[in-house]
Amino acid sequence: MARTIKISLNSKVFEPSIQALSREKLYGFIEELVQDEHAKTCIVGALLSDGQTLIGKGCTSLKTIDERGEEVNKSSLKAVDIKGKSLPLVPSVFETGIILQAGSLDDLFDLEVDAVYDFNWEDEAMKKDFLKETQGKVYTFEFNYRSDYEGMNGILISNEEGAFILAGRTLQFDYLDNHIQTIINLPDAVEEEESDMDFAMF
Amino acid sequence: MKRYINLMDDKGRDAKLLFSGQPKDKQVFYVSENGTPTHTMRVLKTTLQGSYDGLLASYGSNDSIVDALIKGDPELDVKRTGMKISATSRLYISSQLKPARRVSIHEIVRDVKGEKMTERRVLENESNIIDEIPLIMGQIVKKSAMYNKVVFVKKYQLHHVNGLTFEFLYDIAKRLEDEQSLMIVGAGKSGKDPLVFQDGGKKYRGFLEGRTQGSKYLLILHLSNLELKDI
Repeated sequence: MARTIKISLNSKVFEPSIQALSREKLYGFIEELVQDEHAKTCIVGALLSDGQTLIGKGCTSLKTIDERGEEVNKSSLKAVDIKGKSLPLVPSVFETGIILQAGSLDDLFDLEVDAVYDFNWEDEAMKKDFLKETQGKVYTFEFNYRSDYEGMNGILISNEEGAFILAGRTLQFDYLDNHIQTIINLPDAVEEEESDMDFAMF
Repeated sequence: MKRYINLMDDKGRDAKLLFSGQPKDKQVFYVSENGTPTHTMRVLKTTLQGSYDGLLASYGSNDSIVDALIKGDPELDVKRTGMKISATSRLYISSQLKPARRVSIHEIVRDVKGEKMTERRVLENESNIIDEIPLIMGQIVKKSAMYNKVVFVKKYQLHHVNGLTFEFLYDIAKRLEDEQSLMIVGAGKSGKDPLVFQDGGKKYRGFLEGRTQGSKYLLILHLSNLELKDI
């Protein structure tokens, strides 16, 4: 059975489970079929910088090393901020639950979304009650799917289809006056590769 | 590198403008027990010959691979395992575990259940944000009508490049703020095509949001490629 999250709102507690919402689940996905000159299927691999060693999927691993180049056991690592101050572990929402705070549309528009979660309800009446309570409103809270050292900002909104959690980071842009700005934060030049379908949402 | 975007309003006035994002700064650093900094390094576990695909090519079946793994260490390359890896070059590998030549690439489009819908040549999206045909700022939609329909996955701030474009953008921001609305931004002659920010990049729908503070403005281009629908 899926783990549930306790959501507190207006002195009521709701306990749905959540699942990630993705383009693949909504629109399907695209698979790349690569064939060689003999029409045989190829796999994606890579050539190392020595110019002769070929590697495939799962052939590499990430290791943590210290200043002497020796491997460090990950369980012994300590998390610190940029000034070297120890960071507390931010617990998962599955442990802490969510207490919804009233938010605004600006809170929503300031959030750069990393993940979206849809709710699953065992109890249809509870779903109806929750949608009624949350319809037309924006709620904020701290969201962390797994315990780690970096919590995310969460927004809860609902529509006629259901309720959704948007998790990401709140951005703060500077307002611009009539001077030529020096732009230092340029967008990433390269996006991750991903299959994509025609987008016909409207 | 400065990046430009070419935008045209509903009066047919267009301008090449700068835009910027907000790359995520690293917030968490990991140190060893005695507080010394640590680094992450990519190392080689095995070569292609020792990978599953390589072992399958050598032994022919999963059962034979299992037998080989029980008897020895065919997955290890004693000379190379543990080697530090720096840059790699992506390539396609044939069933003979050699670099493939003259490959043909097709896309298989599958529905949400994984059923094949169609097969087609690879369609690479071409960047269209700085084309001769500007992106068109068109339909106005109320924020309250759109906020719970789509997911805004990316945000770019638009910047003026001179006094004239300052006024151009300030006016748009003011109008959108006053009307509590978003302006849909599209590509192509009709302004209905999705935006592509770089060759081979993803397609997005664009929504312009404006705010002002006295004589200052903030114009954010929100990008979306996902609707909020129950699954």
